[in-house]
Amino acid sequence: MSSFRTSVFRHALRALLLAAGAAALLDSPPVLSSGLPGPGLWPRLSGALLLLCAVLLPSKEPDERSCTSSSLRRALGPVLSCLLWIVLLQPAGWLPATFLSALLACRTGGCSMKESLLVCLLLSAALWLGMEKLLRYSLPQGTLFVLACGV
Amino acid sequence: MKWRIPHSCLAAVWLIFLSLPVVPDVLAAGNNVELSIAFSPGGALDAAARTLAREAEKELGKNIIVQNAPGGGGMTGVARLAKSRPDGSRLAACVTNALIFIPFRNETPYRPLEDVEPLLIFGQASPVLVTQPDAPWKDMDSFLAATRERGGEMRIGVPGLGTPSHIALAVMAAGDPSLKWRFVPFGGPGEAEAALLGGHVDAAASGVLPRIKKGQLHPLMVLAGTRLPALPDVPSLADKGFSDPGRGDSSFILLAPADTPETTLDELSHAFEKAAGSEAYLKILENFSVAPVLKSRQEAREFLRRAWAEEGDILKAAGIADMPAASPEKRDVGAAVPKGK
Amino acid sequence: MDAFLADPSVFSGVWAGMAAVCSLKLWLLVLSGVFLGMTVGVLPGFGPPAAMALLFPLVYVLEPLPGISLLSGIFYGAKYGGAVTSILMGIPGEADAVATLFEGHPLALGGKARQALAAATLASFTGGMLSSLGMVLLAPVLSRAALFFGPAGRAAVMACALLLVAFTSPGGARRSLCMILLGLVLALPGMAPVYGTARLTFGFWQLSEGVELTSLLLGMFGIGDLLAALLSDHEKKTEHAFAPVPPLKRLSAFAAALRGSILGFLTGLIPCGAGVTASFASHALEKRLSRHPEQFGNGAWEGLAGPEASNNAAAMASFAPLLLLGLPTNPIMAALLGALTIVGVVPGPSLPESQPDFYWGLIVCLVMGNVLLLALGLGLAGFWAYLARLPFRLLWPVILLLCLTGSYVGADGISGPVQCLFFGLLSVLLRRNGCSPAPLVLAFVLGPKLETHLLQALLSVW
Repeated sequence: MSSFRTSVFRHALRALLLAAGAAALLDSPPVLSSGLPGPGLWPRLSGALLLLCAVLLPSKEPDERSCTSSSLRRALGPVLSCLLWIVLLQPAGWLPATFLSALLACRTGGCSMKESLLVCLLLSAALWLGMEKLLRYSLPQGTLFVLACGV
Repeated sequence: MKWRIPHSCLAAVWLIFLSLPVVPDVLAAGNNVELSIAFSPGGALDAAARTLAREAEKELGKNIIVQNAPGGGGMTGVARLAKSRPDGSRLAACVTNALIFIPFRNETPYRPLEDVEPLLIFGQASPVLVTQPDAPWKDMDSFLAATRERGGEMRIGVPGLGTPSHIALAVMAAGDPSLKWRFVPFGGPGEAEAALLGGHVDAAASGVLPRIKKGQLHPLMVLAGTRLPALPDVPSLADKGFSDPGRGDSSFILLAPADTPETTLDELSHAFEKAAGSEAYLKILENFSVAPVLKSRQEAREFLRRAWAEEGDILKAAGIADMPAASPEKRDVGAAVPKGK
Repeated sequence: MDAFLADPSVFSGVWAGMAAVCSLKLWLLVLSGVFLGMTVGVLPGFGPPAAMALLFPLVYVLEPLPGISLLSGIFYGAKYGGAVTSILMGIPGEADAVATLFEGHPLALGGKARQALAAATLASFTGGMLSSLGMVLLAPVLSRAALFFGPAGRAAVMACALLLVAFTSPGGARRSLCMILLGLVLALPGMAPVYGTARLTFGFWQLSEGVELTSLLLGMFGIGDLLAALLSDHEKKTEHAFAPVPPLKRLSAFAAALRGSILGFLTGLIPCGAGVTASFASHALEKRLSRHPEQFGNGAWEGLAGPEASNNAAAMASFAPLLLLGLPTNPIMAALLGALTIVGVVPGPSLPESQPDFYWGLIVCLVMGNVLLLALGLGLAGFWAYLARLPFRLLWPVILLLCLTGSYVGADGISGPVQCLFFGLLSVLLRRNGCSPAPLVLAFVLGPKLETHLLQALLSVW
């Protein structure tokens, strides 16, 4: 099972590089525009070189720490927290999104409920103060709350 | 966590120093107008808009908070304005480039003539064509003569392809087959001049007044329709018989979101118009080679309409109409009749 | 002008500038700038530009020297703040701070956070002081020389830096070259540098700005490191224990700082992405010159001292082209150029003679900023190290949310965090294949500049 995973990783990178190089090479503007080097010169050059290097990428893996299912589960925590934050940001606003995803992250990371709540509160408060009050950067309010308050 | 006394003191000191930027806000109560400048701090537009805002505060009686919203050559700032609430609390300052040239050639998330309402035109960037102080050509005529002799080998540094100075020079060259230049684009203020002084280009189209006055750069011509008051001896495009094609693209304009109530628009534009006549403002314009062109609301609207209509022809004349664009059909969309207002 | 070195007016100029040292108001202003810059530098997504934009209005109110010194204080403070987050949490706030985290973060993980921060501060101080000395004695001569680096010359410098990093990065030359080219290609979507036309946006207008740098940095290093640490099989306790941290050899670390300072000073004089180029190049150089290259990546002190010194030296040296040629070498200098014009200071080769109070006063203020940073850095190292001693399970949610928020701020929209997550996952893929994200980041930053200079060079001769 883990050897399948490692070979997937190996080929995924090469596929990604080839795709990127092909996209740059094919989808960019023409090389010359009105007779002068145009915005297409550099993308096509880079794309072509990337395709070449992707082919030459060494396939031998350096010493590889195998990827067990428990470590994948551990890594899922941050990914899920990120997704939760991204999904919650617009509807609920920055503060709830941050608090809830931090809570999820802490809990999946193995913190106790008390520790999690403390960290999440401190983090949200500190960031909010720094950004809203100090730097006057307006964080998203959250459409649900705005609707609820009838604004 | 045991907090030792020094650490608490340190934290206290830190908080005191951080209060520096917050204090002005705390003292300023409610009623604010927010002006976002569609460029990064430090340029001509930024300086002009900030000074204008400070003078207008006195006229308006409200606080004007100025911020920068750079990106996309002005697109980001205008896009944000177009989506703001039309109640007179949000304004934007940008260069008409973002309303004319850029939408002509790129997808923009706003319609320049419908989604924003012009309040005032408060300046026109008038770049000066300069050369090294010890160059063999001392005025525009000898420069043109040298260009004809060298047959297309003269290099002019421009602040960017499609900028007003580039277009003005390109139109000049297009009108006279014996004139051919190589335009080398640079990114911002100072770069073209540095290239000039290093000998990598023969002339630069972005001379800054203070350096010209100090004799570090030698002016040849003002690349705009009228002479600059600070350089009375330097000819302008009109003096030499060339049209001023960049006029549409290089004006500094103040915008409000569309559908802002008329009374608010009138109040704001009057305040800013008076501010634009103040001495402090004119002094700043002088430092940045900006001509003190002033157009009221109605005039600004007319100006934009006309500039949009003429843009297609101008680009063709400059020979850059067929430069690659994201969606070439955008040019026709722009010619659609705007909603009557 | 070229007889500058023998000119006795250097000393009278410095004496005139020393009057600035006696002004309490100036000290307070620089200090507040440094504090503000530090706070802003610690918050990822904001950089010196945000803090400077905040205090820009004060430039109108204050006199020239205090106003510009305040802004410069912010600049320094933000660099230090960026180093703090790099070392402690592995989150590079800006591209300049990336090279610091290569060695700084493993040192912090190995329990040497306080020493690492102190070393970084001392190295920065060395870089700043040597660079100031260079500015005083050599800058006028060297800036004239820098003028002769035309577009082709600058492109060549950047290409050399890229190749140097390619050949010294872990994973080997072929993998690093792939990373460099991938970085160049990632920088392509968005507005083309010279022509301003949109390309490779595939119809999304969010991509009209291209891939956002902050999201790339935070994703590749912040989230990427996090995921890599969680994916590896070791039992997580308070610290990772991969390889023991190498012992600190003061003399060789100091030598690294010296080399870094010289490298930083020279690269700061020409517009070639100075801070980033210098720090990456310094790291690669130290690895090349080291007798124990296998220590690099596990907390080699020379690899921390060199980049930090070169970063600060380059920042200091970038004032020289600004003041003496009116040439801004990065966006922050461009903002300062505007500030100078507003207050009526005319940059040019004759600035030291025509406005000696301002020129020498500013240099003295920059030195003051350096000294303040040293004091603060050494004093605060213990404070910051408290945070580093927190257990990993408490720290990583903080890192995660800082990255998400920072990328939201940097991209000013939801596309930032989405890109951040994507790059985090990409980083895992890269590391699994033995590739290092460092050359990718350098290539991403330098790509548009390389393209610009290449096009400029071609257009001059086409």
